[in-house]
Amino acid sequence: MASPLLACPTSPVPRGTAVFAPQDDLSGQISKAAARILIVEDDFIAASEIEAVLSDEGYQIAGIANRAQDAVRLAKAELPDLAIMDIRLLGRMDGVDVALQIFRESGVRCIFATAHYDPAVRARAQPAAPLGWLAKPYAPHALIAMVRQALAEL
Amino acid sequence: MGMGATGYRDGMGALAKFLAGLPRVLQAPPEVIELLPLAVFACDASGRLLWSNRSAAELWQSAGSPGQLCDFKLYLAGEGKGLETATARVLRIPTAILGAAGMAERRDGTRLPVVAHVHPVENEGGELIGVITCCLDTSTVAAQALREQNQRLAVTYEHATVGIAEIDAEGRRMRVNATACAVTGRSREELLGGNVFDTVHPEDREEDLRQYRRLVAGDIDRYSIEKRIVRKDGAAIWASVMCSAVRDDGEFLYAVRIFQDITDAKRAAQALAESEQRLAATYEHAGIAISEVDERGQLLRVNEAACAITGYSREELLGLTIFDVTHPDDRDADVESFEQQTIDAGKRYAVEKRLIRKDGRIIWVSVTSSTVRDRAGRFLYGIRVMRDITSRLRAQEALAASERRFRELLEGLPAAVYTTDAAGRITFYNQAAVELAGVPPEIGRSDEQWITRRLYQPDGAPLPREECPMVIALRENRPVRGVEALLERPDGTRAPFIPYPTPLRDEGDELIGAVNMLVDISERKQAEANQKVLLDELSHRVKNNMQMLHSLLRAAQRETQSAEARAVLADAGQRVGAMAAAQQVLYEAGNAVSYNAKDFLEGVCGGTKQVFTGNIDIVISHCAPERLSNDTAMPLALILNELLTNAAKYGVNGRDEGSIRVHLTKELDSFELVVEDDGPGFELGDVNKRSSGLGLVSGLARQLGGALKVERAPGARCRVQFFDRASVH
Repeated sequence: MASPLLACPTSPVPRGTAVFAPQDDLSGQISKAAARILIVEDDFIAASEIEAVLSDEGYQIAGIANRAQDAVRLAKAELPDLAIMDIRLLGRMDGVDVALQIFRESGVRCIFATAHYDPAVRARAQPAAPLGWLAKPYAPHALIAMVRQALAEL
Repeated sequence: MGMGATGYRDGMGALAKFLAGLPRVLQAPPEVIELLPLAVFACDASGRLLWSNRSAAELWQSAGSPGQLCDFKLYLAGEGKGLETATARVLRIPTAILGAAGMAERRDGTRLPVVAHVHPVENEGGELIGVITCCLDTSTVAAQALREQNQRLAVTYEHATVGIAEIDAEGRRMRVNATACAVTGRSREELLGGNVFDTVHPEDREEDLRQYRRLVAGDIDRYSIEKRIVRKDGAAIWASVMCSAVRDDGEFLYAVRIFQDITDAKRAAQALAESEQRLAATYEHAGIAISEVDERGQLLRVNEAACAITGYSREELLGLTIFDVTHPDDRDADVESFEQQTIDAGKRYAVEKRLIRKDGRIIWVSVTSSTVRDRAGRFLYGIRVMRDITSRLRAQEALAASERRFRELLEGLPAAVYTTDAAGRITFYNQAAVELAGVPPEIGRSDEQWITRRLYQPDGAPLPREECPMVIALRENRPVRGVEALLERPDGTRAPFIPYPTPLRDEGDELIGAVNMLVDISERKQAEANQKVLLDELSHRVKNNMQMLHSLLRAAQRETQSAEARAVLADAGQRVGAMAAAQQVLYEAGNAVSYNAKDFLEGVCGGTKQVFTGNIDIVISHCAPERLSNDTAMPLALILNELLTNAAKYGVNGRDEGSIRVHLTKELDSFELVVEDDGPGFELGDVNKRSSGLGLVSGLARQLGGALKVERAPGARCRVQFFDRASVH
């Protein structure tokens, strides 16, 4: 997939398509093929990049939401395996609020992405059973590593 | 005979009596009577003349007609005309009239002054059978003085300011004067012959009678009594009576009673007594200790409160001096003042001193000492009025302690605090205030010199006095907030501060002053300045970095041999360039939250135009005079860059020149960015076939809460609606 800086991304990979990518073991291949990830990020370019990185790695994108309501709706409808959650969302609810709700309603756990380390935020997020914390800005490989680790946990 | 008038009178009296003692005389007077130079005549019980002598005929110019009603008119002096004659009187009231001055009215109407004796005659049974009248003409020159004296005496008697009555041994009135009638409220007729004791108030009668009997008996010569007389109208009046006896050779003749109405005097005395009683009660029960002292300070008289405050009984106190109960430390001063007062003419002094009660407890009292002097100014006695002020002093101490604590508190505050009275004069200031102003103020002076005159607005202009926050607070009786000012210190430096003046009011809500707290914001200002410097630095650095990025991409573009790579790098470089142009517009004039939309359009359009080949004009046909939040800058820059690039590529119809129009408008709650060209136009649905960056535009438009719309107008008109959500929230 091309990066947003160079070209416009195409629509997400349709459901059910198997994507082959380098892996270590069969179980990983099966889990990777089944893994569907929801991206919650209100910055379009950042969202496009996450989408590109994850798709390149072979994961399916369950959806991209840039607002809290859309995130909740998509989580319920698509039941992704996990979500990449940006903490800072414009609006009354921030990423932690969304994570708590989708965990409560749909059982979806998140990898949180945030520019600031804030113990209060982390404490608030605990009830949503976070899968991990990613510091922004992050390199693609850091994202991939965290997703792999998270999927192994689930 | 050769007797003087007095001798005559006495002799005449004796004669009259003698004659009266002989009832036969009425029928046949002794021959000698005819010879007497005394006028004598007799009447029977009905007033008919029985006989008269020659002197009588001469006196009255009439021989008289025996058997007829006696017309020898004899009136008693001072009784006026027209009353009954003396003879008729005695007939009516059978009491002798002895030595009375009288007036004989002659036939021709003239009157001659006489002295008369008129005596009733009684038979053995005591019945009145007649009257014998003897008269001595006193009109002769020798008797003139006597007559006049008698006349004067009569008038004096009649109109004396006291009532005078002559009564016989039984108490029957023989004679009364006019005042007696007035005092008793009865006429002379009613009084004469009546018994004086009948008009005495029953409660007082017995005593009066008892004394009178003793008087008549000769045990006493006179007596005085205060008794009530019952007037004719039934009212009782108080009278003071003096009763004395007239005797002849020890024998009781008659009594003279002199009396006067003392009702008013008695009432006044009663009122005075009541008033004195009240005064004494007031003195005694006053809530304040009052005592009287002599020149040595010895207590002469004390009231209830004085006993209560000292804890001594009255007897104990009266044995002490005021200095005995004074605390030793306060004694000398009190002694000195007191001694001075006994000497000096009436200087009152007040002193606060300690009193030692009987139980040993010491209390603070306030004493006012004054003196009473005689007419010569000499000290008679001193008056001491004393009040327990212990509770007041304690309250004062508590207040002083509380104020001290309050001041300590204010002293400890890091903020400068000072207070003024309602006129703006300094009443208090703390150390922090001195440090802020650089110099201490003067208590009692206005705060003008210290602060008000040395104030400046943040921009450096002097702050006029009327606009000084503390002045406004006092003038308009309200707190003033939100003002920033500079205070120039004596060394010339200016301290930025924020004043918080607040009026102070008493319980009646009246303005009594104000308190002002001055918060030094130098550090804050410094921090703000530092922050600005930092912001400028960062902004500068970011701009530089983005330029660097842009340059690197352009360099890479120049270096590559591959045409595809060059095209890709060119696109990437242009996008970075647009963002760099937007960055230039941010943080202008230190505004850290928003940017000017027009500057933005000009900057981005200008940057993009530079890479266009050919003669393509970018016209900014309209830009709303708005500011937009910083977080819309990058998305809008990229959107604008894409739309302009597309328009340049596809909207000039393969020609080399054309114009692209850009405008930004503000809708009700959103904005609209429009880019329009003169090309053939296109449908948004066809977009996927072309790599025109419109996906980016759509995505970014969604990021801004809006959407991309494309119209044919007839050229391509791309409309991006967006919201400035940062300012909405």
